[in-house]
Amino acid sequence: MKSDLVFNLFSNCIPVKGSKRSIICDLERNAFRFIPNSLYFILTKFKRANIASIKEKFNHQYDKFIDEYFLFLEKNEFGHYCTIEEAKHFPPINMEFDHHSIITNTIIDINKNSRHNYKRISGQLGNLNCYYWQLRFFDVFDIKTINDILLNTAEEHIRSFHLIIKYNSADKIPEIKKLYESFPIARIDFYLTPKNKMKVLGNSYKDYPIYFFDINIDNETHCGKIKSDYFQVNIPHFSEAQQHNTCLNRKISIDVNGEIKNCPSMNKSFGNIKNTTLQQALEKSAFKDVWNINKDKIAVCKDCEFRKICTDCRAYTESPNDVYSKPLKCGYDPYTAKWKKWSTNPLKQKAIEYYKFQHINTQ
Amino acid sequence: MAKKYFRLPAKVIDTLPLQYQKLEQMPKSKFPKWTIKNPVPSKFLNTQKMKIFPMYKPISKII
Repeated sequence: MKSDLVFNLFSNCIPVKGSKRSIICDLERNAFRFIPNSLYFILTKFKRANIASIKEKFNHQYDKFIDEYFLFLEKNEFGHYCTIEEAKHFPPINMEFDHHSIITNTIIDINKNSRHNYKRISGQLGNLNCYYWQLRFFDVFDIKTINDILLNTAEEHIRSFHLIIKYNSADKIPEIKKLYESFPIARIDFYLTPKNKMKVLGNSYKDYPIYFFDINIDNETHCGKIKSDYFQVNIPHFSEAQQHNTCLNRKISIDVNGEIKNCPSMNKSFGNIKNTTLQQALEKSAFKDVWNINKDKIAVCKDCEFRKICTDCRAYTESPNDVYSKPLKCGYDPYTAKWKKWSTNPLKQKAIEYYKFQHINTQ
Repeated sequence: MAKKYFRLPAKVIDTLPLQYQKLEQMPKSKFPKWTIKNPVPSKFLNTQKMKIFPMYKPISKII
């Protein structure tokens, strides 16, 4: 009976082909499932064909597999059966990305020598409609100082802060909870937490998005890690990934010295915040060059099945002088479909030496 | 017949933005009347009640 029907994938369940395997991104349920490339081929080449005709196209050689494929799709609710006529009423999602904010997110790095004028920065970011802030504290700062910084920055336009703070044993649990409750904080990460305290602290904050890590991330060189934890399966990310860089698009950053950059880990500065406004930096033509380097333009990434849900890093690449080369800190090989530790890959050793990463945390 | 064409997200409640969950829990009297003449008070925006979800993509990948 079903053989006469077409299997129509829901518009928000989108297959993405990789070199060795493919995935179906379920943008509504924020999940993905692996599928063989042969199923990707069937889903894309025979989109409007009924099951019987698909079997026929393969001379009934693979009927068993085709039944299995469609059972998998049905079981996972990736779509539904309908007639060819009905299927025409399900148009694809428009994947054009746009945002009313000129800048959507910012990273501000802070260490003990930083002399940022937070009020001024906040005003300028407000003019750009920047909603999402990440503040990274690379030295020990007590909660009161962080509270003062947030007081100077907190404006109506800010939707969320993500704080990355060096663990300080002097910080009291009620103070941290109060900080979280006083500002629109989406998440706080403490690094360099003593291993023996992590479990107790984790339990103390179990109702809060406050997390503890024992790794050391005391400067910007620790950034750029590519791992599955950072995959985002949602419509805004997926649609942005079609044309834009999933890390740098509509991002502006201020490093510890006040240099305005695309990302604090990048070398190119567009002026110092002391004498250049963020708007002026943004107007420099080169600032937006990296915004449109999508994964389809990046070596190796362009063959990866995760390219529409992964983030990117243009600061640390396998070939430091090639802005289109694969992120250095990615250990995934789409040609073998295997994850390996990036830091021990012999092909990356030259770049590791170039960036002087021999001694940093390579997790 | 039409039912088969639709589905719900796997965890409807879990996927509700935190702000809605919080607002549901708020007593009705605390709902501010937001108008052009009476904009959202900044004090209200800076409280946990207005917690907005993090961005749709990670801002950095340092952890």
